[in-house]
Amino acid sequence: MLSRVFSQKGGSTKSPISKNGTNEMTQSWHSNHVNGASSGSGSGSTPEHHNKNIFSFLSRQSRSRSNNPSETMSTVPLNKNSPSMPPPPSSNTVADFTHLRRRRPRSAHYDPNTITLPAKEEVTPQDVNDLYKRIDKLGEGSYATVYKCESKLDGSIVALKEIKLQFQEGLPFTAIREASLLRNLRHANIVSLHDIFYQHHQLTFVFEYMKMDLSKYLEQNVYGLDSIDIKLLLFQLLRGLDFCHRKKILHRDLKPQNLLLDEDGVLKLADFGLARAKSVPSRTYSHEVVTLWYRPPDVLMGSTDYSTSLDMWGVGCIFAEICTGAALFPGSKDSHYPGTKDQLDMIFSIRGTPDEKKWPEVKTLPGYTPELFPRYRELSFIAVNPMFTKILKTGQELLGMLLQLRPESRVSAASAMLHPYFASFPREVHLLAPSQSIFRLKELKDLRSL
Amino acid sequence: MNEDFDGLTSGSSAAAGKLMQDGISSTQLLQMLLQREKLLYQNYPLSLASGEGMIGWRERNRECAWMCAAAKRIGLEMDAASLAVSIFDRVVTSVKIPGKYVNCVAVGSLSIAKKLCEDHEEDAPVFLGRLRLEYSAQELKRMEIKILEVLRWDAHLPNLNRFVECLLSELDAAFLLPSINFRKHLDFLLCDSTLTSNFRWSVLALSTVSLLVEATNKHWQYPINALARLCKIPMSEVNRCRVKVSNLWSRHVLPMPSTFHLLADLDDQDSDMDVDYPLAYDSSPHPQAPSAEASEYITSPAPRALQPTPC
Repeated sequence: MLSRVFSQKGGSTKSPISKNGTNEMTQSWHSNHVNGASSGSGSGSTPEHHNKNIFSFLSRQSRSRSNNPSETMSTVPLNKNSPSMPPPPSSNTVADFTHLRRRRPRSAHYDPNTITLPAKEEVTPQDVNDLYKRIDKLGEGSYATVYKCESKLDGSIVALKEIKLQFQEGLPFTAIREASLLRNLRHANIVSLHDIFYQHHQLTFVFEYMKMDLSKYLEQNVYGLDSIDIKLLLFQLLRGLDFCHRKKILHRDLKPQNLLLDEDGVLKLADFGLARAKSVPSRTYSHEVVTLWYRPPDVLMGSTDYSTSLDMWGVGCIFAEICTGAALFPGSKDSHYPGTKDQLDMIFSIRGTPDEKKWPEVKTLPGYTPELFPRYRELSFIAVNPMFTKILKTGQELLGMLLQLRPESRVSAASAMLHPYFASFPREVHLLAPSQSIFRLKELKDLRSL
Repeated sequence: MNEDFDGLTSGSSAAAGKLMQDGISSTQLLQMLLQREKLLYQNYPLSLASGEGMIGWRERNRECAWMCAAAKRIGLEMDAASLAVSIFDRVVTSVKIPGKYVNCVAVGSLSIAKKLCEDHEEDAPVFLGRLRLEYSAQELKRMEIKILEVLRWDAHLPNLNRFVECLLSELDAAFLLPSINFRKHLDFLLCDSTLTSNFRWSVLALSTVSLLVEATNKHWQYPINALARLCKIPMSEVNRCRVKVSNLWSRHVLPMPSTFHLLADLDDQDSDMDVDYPLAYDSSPHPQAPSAEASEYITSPAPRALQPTPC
């Protein structure tokens, strides 16, 4: 069982973030703001106007087209924030504050007594290295390195993702996407982003700590998982994904490595670097998304007009993998169109060659070359691997619905959660708040411990 | 004509909500956007922080016009341009912006929006080069960081295009949005602070959609009233706004959008993409940026597609 396996790894390391810890970790969200008492959610209020010029790093003569020589001359003497000028004396500080008060637009929430220049001047960003102690390196790639860390404030355990920033490059798109999207995805089955630091020319994301990813867990279960664990994990995956899809966010890189597990068997979606908010229907997207083994056939054949069905194929592949312990479509090539035939061949050999009558749109895909594909018939999952008996007929039926070749025919996450495969779950599981884990329900908690 | 647009006249179906392409109800998405907007934009009219050397609305409009033109020049879709303006407005109404930095804020806003909306990665020097800008990649990165800090890294802001998309989907008319000529209408709207500082994006979007629907169907009031009730927007506010929007388009000699005009344009999108249109706003003694003056189409090496995380 999940709990026993994790307990053998050296005991529980779960450390819920204390209230104070949460406040401290969110402190840096506001380190540059005058009002340090702002709500931790951040998005609940309009940011206060700043007296400080936060763009003072552009201190050299601006080459922007907004500048002209006369304006520059008139501005420079009054630029109190210039690095070359000494800080203003206290009398000027008072005068400056009075000036600010007179000019500041008033609102229902404005209270001048809460703003004092000395307090503003004293606020300094906290250094991430002063807040967290590195315990272990969890993983490293070309994009980022992840460390297991302990909070020096309250001892809670977090995962720090240090993103490498090249000097001559702009900010990575993956970082902007991940941060921006996760700021609006607060769910029990989606990894939580606690804080963000930009210090020492490095971007650091502070995530909640999770024990391991599903890929590592499968390495310990080479014959797949138990039937009840399969059901529990799949439901959580669908639950988190449905939350994303309802907000029209596509993950676009679902695979076991991006699904995290904690000691209690809670599964969370992670790595939203390739995720995106879906736009107008006519918008097309890159077809080079999703790791090859989890990429749907329509995208492999060059479709750029995909939707949530892209993620649902990935769910089907993962569902099959946690049943058998091995990838269902482990293609060996990932390059140009001709190279993807191997991946397509693997898919078609199990799911059958596309039927133009059932999937008429396939003829419009640039990579569809029927004369090159061998004629395959759809196989039953039992014929592919006897281990699919674990999920019974209802599970096999759901798996088939997820792995439909035609994207429009794939079941949605919301519908999948209502499939008879999950009939043994209590009805209350569909009424839980987004932030509540399914293991809040006693029936499911007991199932986990079996 | 009416038979082709039955969806536009069905107020009850608009209220019920339609399943969009991916099975998500447009009503659900619309409600989410409205909730976000309510949280993020609580005080209207918007105001800029005053002070010596700080930007005014004129500068704001000029930079928004630059962003819209630049977005079109480098082939960005309307969603990126709309989001860029939303990010820019969020920043300039939140912190003081000296005039000499405002263009850099605009560049940073456009860069962030591009990274969120476009799927093709592009190095910062290439992006800057395509726009003929002299900022360094390091300066752009630092500006991006500053902007994101102001936004608390919540850069996916509600914006005009997103609302228009949802409202048109409610009316089964989302196919009208991609029109190039309709983009001109939205661009001018985005660049007019008398509208953007006084009306929320949802009100501006509903007013825009109402004008669009009015041009295509004489019974436009019914679906628009239904949408207004759905969004909990007083029709009096919509009416005030749509008059101003209509006047704006008239002042710039833009034809009122019509179905024929919008749909005909879809067949000529490729050729229209090569045409640069001027957005004349607040003529200024400052020299225009090279990118605004360039009329030829800027080409660049094929951008690298996003790559999934390695196995």
